[in-house]
Amino acid sequence: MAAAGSPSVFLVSVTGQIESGRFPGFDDLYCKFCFVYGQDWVPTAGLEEGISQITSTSDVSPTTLVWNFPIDITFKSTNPSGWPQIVVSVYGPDFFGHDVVRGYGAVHVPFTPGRHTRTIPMFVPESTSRLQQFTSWFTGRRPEFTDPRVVAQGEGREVTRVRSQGFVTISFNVVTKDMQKLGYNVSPSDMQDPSLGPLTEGIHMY
Amino acid sequence: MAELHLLGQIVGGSGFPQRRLFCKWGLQAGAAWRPLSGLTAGQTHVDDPQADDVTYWCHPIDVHYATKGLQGWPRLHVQVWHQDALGRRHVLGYGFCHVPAAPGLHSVRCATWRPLGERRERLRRRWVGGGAGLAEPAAAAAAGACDRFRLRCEAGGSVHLQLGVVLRHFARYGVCCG
Repeated sequence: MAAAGSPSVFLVSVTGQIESGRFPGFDDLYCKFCFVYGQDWVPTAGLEEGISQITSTSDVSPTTLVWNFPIDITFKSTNPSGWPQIVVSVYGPDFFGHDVVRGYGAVHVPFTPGRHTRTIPMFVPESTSRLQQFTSWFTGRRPEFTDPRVVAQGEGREVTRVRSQGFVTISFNVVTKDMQKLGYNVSPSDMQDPSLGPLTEGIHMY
Repeated sequence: MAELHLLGQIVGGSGFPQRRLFCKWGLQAGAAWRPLSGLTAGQTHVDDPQADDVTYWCHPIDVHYATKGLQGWPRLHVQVWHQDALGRRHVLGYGFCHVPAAPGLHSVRCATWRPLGERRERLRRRWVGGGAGLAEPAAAAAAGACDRFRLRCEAGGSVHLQLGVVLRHFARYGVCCG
């Protein structure tokens, strides 16, 4: 790679997969993902969105749904603000066979280079009135967000009621370029003796 | 000037006596700190968990601070509220934690407490709901809040946070963080 005199942008390359999900009581689910990022970020390579295959539980895996769905994207940015988040939405058939949402979830792409696993809780919006809940149960149309990206934002969340029902496990491999040259420290090893290894990270879910 | 990016989530809460919880949160910092972008306060959605007793909010936080000094390191204060079936809200716990002073991702468990109130108020809370709350919740997070010794409190549940910290130019000023 050609040496840059003084970089003005840094790159973040994210690969990985949406490994699996656990949704007790639901089966035949597929997931969609998209990335939400700030205005200082631009994807330079890879896919920003995707839809997985439909998967179901099996005898060997009665509680876990496996997607093994690849993620591969590279971003360019001048500012860690607006760090990309991956938004995952999971859909499945209801009693009438229509696709309804079974969960939304979001997590920041890890900013420390290396391999990371995140298990994110998934939730669905709930109607606020009992009558709406009954009609949605009766007709099979349950509330969903018009744009799943709202899950990655902090504004306007206070008016929503949700029900958390499931988890999705995602693994990331993160590679960054020129963040240290721009003065950013993302892990303790950046700031101290480089002979010490980075701290290990556990699973996101507690 | 040195910069600090806080990227993370208010993941959820556990150990509270009720479900259907939401969290109001806010960030405070000293005079040397200036928020450049991002929301420094907000409120999560109300979650009614199905699977277990852990409430999940997954509320994203993305704040960019610039600072000229170390005093007044940013603090995150949280209030956990319960919304009952009638739509009434009352507070279940207050808590605060400092933004971690080391770069990297940190799992932070913020313990909460709530004011105990008098015996009559406790009885009323038990049968009718509601309860005493702080008049200025954000003030309780400030260091040196001298009125705390007047309070009698009881322990509440915990708020779980994933706080990622990215620092910039701290080493240039000779500051060693973690």
